[in-house]
Amino acid sequence: MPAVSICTEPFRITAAAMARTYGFPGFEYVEMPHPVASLSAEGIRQRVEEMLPRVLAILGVEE
Amino acid sequence: MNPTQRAIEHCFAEGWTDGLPVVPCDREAAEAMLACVDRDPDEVLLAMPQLNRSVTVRLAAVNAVMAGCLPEYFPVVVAAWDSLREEGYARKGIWQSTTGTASLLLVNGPVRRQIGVNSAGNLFGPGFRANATIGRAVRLTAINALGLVPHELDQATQGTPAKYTACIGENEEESPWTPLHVDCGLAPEDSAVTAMTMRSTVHIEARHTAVPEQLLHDIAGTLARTGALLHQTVSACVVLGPEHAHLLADAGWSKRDVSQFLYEQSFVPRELLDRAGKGAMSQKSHWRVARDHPDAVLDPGPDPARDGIHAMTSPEAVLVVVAGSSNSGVSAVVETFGPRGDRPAVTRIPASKGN
Repeated sequence: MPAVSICTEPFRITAAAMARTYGFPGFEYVEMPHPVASLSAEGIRQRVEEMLPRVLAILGVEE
Repeated sequence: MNPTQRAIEHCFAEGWTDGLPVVPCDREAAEAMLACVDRDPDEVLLAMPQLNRSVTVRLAAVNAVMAGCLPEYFPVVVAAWDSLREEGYARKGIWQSTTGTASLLLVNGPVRRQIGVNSAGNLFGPGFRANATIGRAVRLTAINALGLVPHELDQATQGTPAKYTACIGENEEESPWTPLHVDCGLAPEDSAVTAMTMRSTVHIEARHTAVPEQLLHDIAGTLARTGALLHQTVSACVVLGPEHAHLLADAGWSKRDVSQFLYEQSFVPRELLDRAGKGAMSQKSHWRVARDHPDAVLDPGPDPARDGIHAMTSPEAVLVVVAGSSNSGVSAVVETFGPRGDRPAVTRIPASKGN
């Protein structure tokens, strides 16, 4: 199943290091602002709306 | 710079250190470590498939040299890796986590005397080569063999000083009870190491009392703190100073009694959980959340008459050991990671091949 990784900004360096570890430097993922764990349900919904086009873009979905 | 300093600086430049100077390792030094164990140098001690990396006996030996271990410490280091593998949290990725845990290594049996593992005063502090370097050997291996470099694959938000080293002996000689490895089925003349993934050590200052219940309530206050609760419940290793252990044993308390009492007194009323926004639990993640979280469920405590939870998972999740100096009423709570309650990862240390 096609999947897209999403991580918050402070994990950018780790994400790049993981990608290198697996031999995929430059692996594309969606980066979003921190934090997520303390967001309200409405805040989460907004994040999803904001991120969705970027997730679809990585998946190659053309609207 | 002389050649030794140049070699040390080379290790810094390559990023092979924990921030302190390391002992440069050559083939001969690594071979001397390997000669003390009956293990294939290519044997994998701990694999992290999520990183495509693993720790072999050889890599553990090189890093043990760099940490400053003597060859006769290496059987303890290898047993520590066996214990870490059995304990499980390291290979599941906790060393990469924001929680920032360390590995507490508890050493039991005659090996403590043979190689000088401190089990008395300044237990968690500096001054003892075996304690300082055995724990450090694990950390350097994590950095150099697994690539768990801070700000990169080690994402600890703050970490803990115990990440430099956290290796202690149990003070069996001054304990009124049987030591941990004997409780877990080994013989007193066996040596063993037990790895525990830990967050913090918290001091218990209780010089004021000779009443067992007062002492245990004082300790339970730390076990029941809401700040330790990420998941539904937690676990702890209570490191009793010998004075506290004798106070309890002289009044007829067994280790099992102590664990049971501390479990019961780790009760946190719902009101206190709510005050910290941790009154419920997420159905999906089992993290503690506020009652109004969309995924919240109230987790009933084991006692229907009281609304609240026990911070400790079970009496078995409160491990009791004895260590430190017999000079005051000081103990420590080591906050361990995970619910626990199963058999501790007590791992027998074979005698050094050199001995």
